[in-house]
Amino acid sequence: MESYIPNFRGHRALILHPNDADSELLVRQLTRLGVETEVIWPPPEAISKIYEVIFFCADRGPTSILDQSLIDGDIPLIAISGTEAPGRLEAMLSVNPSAMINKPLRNAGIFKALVFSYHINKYQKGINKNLVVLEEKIRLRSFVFKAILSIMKRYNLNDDDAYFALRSASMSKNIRIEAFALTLISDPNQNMKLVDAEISNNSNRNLTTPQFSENYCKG
Amino acid sequence: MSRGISIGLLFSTTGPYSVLSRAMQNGAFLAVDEVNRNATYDFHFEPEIVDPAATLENYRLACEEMLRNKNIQHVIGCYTSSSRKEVIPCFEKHDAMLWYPSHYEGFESSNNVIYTGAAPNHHIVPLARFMMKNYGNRAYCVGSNYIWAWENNRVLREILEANGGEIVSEKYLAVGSGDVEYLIEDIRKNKPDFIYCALIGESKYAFIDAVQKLREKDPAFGPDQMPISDCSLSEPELFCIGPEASRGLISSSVYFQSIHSEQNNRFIADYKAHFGQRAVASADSEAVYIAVLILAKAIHKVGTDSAYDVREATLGSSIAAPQGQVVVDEDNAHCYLTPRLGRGRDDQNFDILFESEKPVKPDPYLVWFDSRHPDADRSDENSRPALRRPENRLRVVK
Repeated sequence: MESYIPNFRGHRALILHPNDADSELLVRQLTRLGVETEVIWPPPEAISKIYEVIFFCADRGPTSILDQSLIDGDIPLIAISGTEAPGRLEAMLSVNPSAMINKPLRNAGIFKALVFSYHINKYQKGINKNLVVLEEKIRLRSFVFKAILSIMKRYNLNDDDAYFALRSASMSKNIRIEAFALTLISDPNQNMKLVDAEISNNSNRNLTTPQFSENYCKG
Repeated sequence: MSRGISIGLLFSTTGPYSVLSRAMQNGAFLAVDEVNRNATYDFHFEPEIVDPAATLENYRLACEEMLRNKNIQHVIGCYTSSSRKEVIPCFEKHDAMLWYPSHYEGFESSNNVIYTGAAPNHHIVPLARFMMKNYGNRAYCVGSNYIWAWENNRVLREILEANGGEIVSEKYLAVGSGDVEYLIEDIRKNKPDFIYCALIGESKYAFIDAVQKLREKDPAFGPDQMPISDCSLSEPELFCIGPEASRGLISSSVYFQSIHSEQNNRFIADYKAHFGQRAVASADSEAVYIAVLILAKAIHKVGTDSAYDVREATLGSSIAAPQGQVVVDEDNAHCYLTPRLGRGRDDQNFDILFESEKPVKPDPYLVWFDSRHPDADRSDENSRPALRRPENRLRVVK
C-alpha cells in the first residue's frame, strides 16, 4: 500500500552549501525528519550515487555549481535560493530542480519542498520513460507503414485488414508490431510466411467484420 | 525587589470556541499566580490580556502590538492551527516566543514556538490503536471542515487500511453548523464499528445529541456497540453535552481531571479555589499551565526574559506537571507527554481506560510512525531502528 503520510526516515541528503546558519538550520530540520545529511562545500567534481536527494546553493556562480553532466535527473534536486537576479534564476533552472527553498531558510517549508521534489521527480521520470517508448514508436512508424503496404499488395487487402494480419503475425511471434514490421521489410521471403499462415487461418472469416477493428483497438 | 515581566495571553474568550479558551486562560491565571507567589523567583509576571474573538486578523494585530510596541518577548496563546499559522511570522520577525498550548495535527516546528500540547503520536495514533483492538476497523469519520479533522482522518485512514479496515464514510460540516440529521441516517445505513469525531464546539454537541436520540430508539447503536471517539473532547465540554450523552464517549488526551497524583490534586484544588467549585479543568488548561511554569523556570535559570536565552534554557527542561513528568524535547521543541484514553461519565469526568507507562517523545512529523505496526512505539530513541545505511559507502571523489 502506498503511504499517505510522506516519510523520509533513513533517506540521505547531500547538501552542497557553505557552512553557515542556513545550512545548519537545514541539517537540524532534516534530522527532525529522520533524514541523514552530508554537507559538502565547495562542490565536489563527482557526486556519489548514495543520496536520495540533493540540496544545492543556487546563488553561487557564474554558472550553476552543479555540472549538468553530473545530474541525470535520477534523484530530486532542491535549489537553495536567495537572490532573484535573472542570471542566477537561469543558472538554477539549467539543472531542472524539482523544488526550491527561499533564503533565509525557515523550518517551515523544508518538509514541503521534500514532498514536492519527490513528487515532481517521480512524475518527470514517468514522462521521460513514456517519451522514450513514444519516440521509438514514431521512428519505426514508417516501417510499419511499408509492411502494411506490402501485405496489401501481396494479398490484395484493404489497409485495415492488412494491419490486422501484420498484428496477428507479430503477436503469434510474440514481438512488438514495429519490430516485426522491420524484420518483414528486411527479409520478406523469410518472414512473409508468418503472414501467409495468418491469412490462411482467417481465410474462412470475413476479414472486414467489425470484430477485427475491435481487436486491433486493444493494442 | 521583584521585577515585573510582561507576558501576553492571547485567548479568544469570546466567539465559537470560547468555552475552551476560557479554560485555557484560567490555566494561565493559575500558573501566573503560582509564579508570582514563588519566593525563590526574583521576578513576577504581569499578564497582558488580549481577546482576539476568534478573528484571524485580530490575532496578528494583537501580536504586532505586543511584540513591536510593548517589547513583550513571550506570548502564551492560540487554540486553532489557523491562528497559530497567522501569528508565527510576527514571532519570527521580532524574534519573540509563542508558547502554543494545545493539541494539534503536527507537521510544524518553528524555532520561535514552544509546543506544550499533544502531537499526533500522542493523540490520534493511540486512539486508532485502541479502537481497532477493542471495537473493529470500520470507522465513520465526521469533522469540522478544517485542517485538524482532515489530517487526523488521514492518519486514521492510513492505520485502518494498513490493517485491513476502512473508513466507511468521511463527512465534514462547516464550523458552527448544526446540520447533523443526514449524518445520523448515513450512520444508521453504514453501521460502522465506531465513530471518529473531529467536530469542534457547537457542531460536536449537536452531533452527539443526535446520536444520543438514535441510541434511545435503537440500542444497536449504543456506546458499547458503536462508541464515539474524539481527540479533543475535554471536561468543560461535557457540560454542554449533558450527562446522558457523555456516558461512554471515548477521548484521547494527555490529561484528565481524574488522574490520581499529588500534583493533579493540588492543581484541581487550586483551580476550584480560583474559579469556583463548579469549574472544571481541561487538557488545554493544563497545557497552558505547564507552558507558563516552564517559561518561569527558564527565565529564573538564565536571569533574563530574552527570547533566545529562554529558548535555549527551555529545550530539555522538565517539570512535574499534573499529568506527570513533562520534558521539552531538545530536537523539536514539542513536549514528552503521557497519552491516555478516557471514557466519559455523567459527572463531567472521564474514567481512564489506558495510560502510557511513561511520557512519550513527541513526533510531530510522524517520522517514527509505521501504520502497519501502530503498536510499535518507535518515538523512544532507545527503541528506534537503525537508520538504513549502505554497506559500502562510496567516497565522494574530488
